[in-house]
Amino acid sequence: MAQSNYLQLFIDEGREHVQNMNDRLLELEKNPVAIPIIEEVFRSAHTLKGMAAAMEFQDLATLTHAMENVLDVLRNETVIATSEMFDHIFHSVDVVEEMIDDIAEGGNGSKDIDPYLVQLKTLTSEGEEETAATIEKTQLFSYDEFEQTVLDQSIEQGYTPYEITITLDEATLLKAARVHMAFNVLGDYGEVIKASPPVEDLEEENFDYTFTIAFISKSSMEDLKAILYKVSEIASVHIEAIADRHIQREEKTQRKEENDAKSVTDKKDTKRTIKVNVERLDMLMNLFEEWIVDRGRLQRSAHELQNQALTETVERMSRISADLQTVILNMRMMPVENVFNRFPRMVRKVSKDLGKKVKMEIEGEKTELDRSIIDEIGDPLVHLLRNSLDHGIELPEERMAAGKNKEGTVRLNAYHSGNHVYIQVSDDGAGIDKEKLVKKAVKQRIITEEEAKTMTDAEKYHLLFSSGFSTAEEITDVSGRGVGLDVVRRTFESLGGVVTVDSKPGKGSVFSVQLPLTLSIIEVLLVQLENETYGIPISAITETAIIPEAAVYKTYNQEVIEFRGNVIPLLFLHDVFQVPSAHSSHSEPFHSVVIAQKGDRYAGLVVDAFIGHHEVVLKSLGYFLQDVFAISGATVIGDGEVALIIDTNALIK
Amino acid sequence: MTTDTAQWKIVIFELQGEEYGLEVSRVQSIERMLPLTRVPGAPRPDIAGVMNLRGKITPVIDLRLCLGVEAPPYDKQTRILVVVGNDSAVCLIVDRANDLLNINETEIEEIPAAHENETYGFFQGVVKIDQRMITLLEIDQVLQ
Repeated sequence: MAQSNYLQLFIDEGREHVQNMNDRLLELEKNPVAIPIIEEVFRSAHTLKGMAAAMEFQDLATLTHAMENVLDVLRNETVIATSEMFDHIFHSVDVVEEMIDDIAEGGNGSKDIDPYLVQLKTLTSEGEEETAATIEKTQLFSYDEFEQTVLDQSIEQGYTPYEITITLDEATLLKAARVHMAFNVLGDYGEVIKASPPVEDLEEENFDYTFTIAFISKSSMEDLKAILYKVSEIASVHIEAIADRHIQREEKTQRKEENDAKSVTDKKDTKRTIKVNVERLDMLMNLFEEWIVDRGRLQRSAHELQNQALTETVERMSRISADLQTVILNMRMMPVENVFNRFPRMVRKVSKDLGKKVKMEIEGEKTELDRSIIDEIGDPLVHLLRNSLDHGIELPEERMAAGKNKEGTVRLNAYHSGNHVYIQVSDDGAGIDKEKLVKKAVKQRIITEEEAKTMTDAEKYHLLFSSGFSTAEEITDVSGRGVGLDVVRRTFESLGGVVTVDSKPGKGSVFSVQLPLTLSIIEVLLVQLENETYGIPISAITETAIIPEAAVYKTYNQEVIEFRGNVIPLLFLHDVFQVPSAHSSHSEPFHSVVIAQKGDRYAGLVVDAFIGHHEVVLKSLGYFLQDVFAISGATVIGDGEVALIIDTNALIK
Repeated sequence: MTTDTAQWKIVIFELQGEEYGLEVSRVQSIERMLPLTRVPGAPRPDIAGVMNLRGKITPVIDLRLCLGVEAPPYDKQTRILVVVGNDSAVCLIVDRANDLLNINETEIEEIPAAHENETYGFFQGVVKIDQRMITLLEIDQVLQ
């Protein structure tokens, strides 16, 4: 098989199955008897096994096979899964994931899986001990039309159809002989209709130790059992009447329908899809960006030429390109689910490690964001969640003492609002002691005591995100390893996002992240500074104003203005960007000011003139100009010139 | 510089009356001056800004500033050499672009000692053709 053709598909689908197993197992842990869920996990393990075998990833196939066996035991309801069992299964899923990662990196996914196999095997055998009437493996037969007719007729004639699962002793030397004996003794009491593995395989000993047969007989289950147990070296016999099974199966399907009413409707909604390489989408996006630039140029020419036909055509083109833009952007949108669904596992593990009881709630996982953003937010969100688990949620005893439910709750929710997506991580833990924060920040010389006195609550909480700041009293395994929340803040800011935090002592904390929907096409206000044109992202602008020189005050060498009751600093962009100029702009009688906002801080940016509102394609300045202060990128404006885009986040401190 | 048959094709350009050469395989195109956007706070003083090169934002190095020669104002002769950098194109401003020449690798001589200065690393050597003295540019050093 030309493996490489299928490799990527294998990796993608493999990861989907791992994710699915993780999700379903978490659900299952809450409701261990939900057969439909077990079956879903089973199906994933089974598919993975098949895929791995086809691709000749032997270890992966073996491990998933072992998992399948455990799930099979659970599925047949002989055992109810314990928390320990889940640990083992989760562990195996992790190993499967590692193997797939290895394969993705060019390896062959081989790994020493023996310890995991042993673990999984003990799970299946424990199951045997716990239940009296044991089945190691039940094959759910499906009968073809002919066999079904035979069964129906036999029932009419007073026979009972059974499925008999026989497990031979593991020490059996001549398995085929035992099978033969079993068939022989049964032959006196009825007729074998079907066998799994098929009879030929049984004769050639092509089976482990278990086989199942469909059998019609007038004898009772107990009699048959007794007869079979007389054959030596038969370890266990499980008999089930097929009619019963049918009823049971119907019940199960019903239950499944009730349980999965939602997922069923979801499935119905699924439209036909194809998988597209992200690179191709990026290429499409790049081409479209150039198209937008040219469209701008064409619009300008049409405006200058005043030709009616041309103007109309350009207008139509603009409308179409707006639609096209929506389509392309939508194609790049993915639900945040893709990031969110890896968190429940992490929360489960971390809370166990910390000895805390934590329930995780996720909301709004269908909210969509541009793929490029989705790729980046995973790690900082992990950090915020860990922070909530480690510093927010208290130990069960502490919670009880505080009169709270001993199980804490961490909520992760996402929602749209305007041109932004908001993601919140909240907990019902102890909250943040803001005075302690301030004390620590003063001690660590992040702020002066003077500053501390004038700070608002929000500003105090925001100290958490200062560089080099750590609240952890002692360094734990989970957080406080030198990577602070400042890194989280920086990552989000580099995506054009804003992080804020709010807290109520004793009640919990909320970390909110505001993110742009997409990175590449943004709305800007173009402004003029002498001969230079700059763009300021609309998302950062609160409003624009014309302010008389007389309204500008000076404090500590800093120009400030009063804006809606707050004193905010005034930044002359001429100075910030050292714009070559003939005269000092400070002496103008009126200033054109853009009020920019970052979280709850404001600043007034002084420009020469406002040009107007444009939709532009944000482009990077390239590796050569990576870290230019307060410039987040550039864009080509209508006449083909380049305008730099100002990163207001860097200007507001 | 071992085989005597190795031929180089070089683009000849001029900075302050002196001729320089750059291997043609590294030159993507030669353009007339385009509108330039200054980048405040650029990490290198010789970065003149960025340009829109057919939809791509491309950094522009003023080669004259880079090599420490005088930089007269741009005129009709001013040209941009678009060279292939690490992962994207970079524009170089030169006074004029003159010629395309073939040289033998054996003709390349070391920079004369008197020429040695702090920008020595920017050059591969010199080559003399007829009455012309051409300094060969080590482009990767310039782009570093």
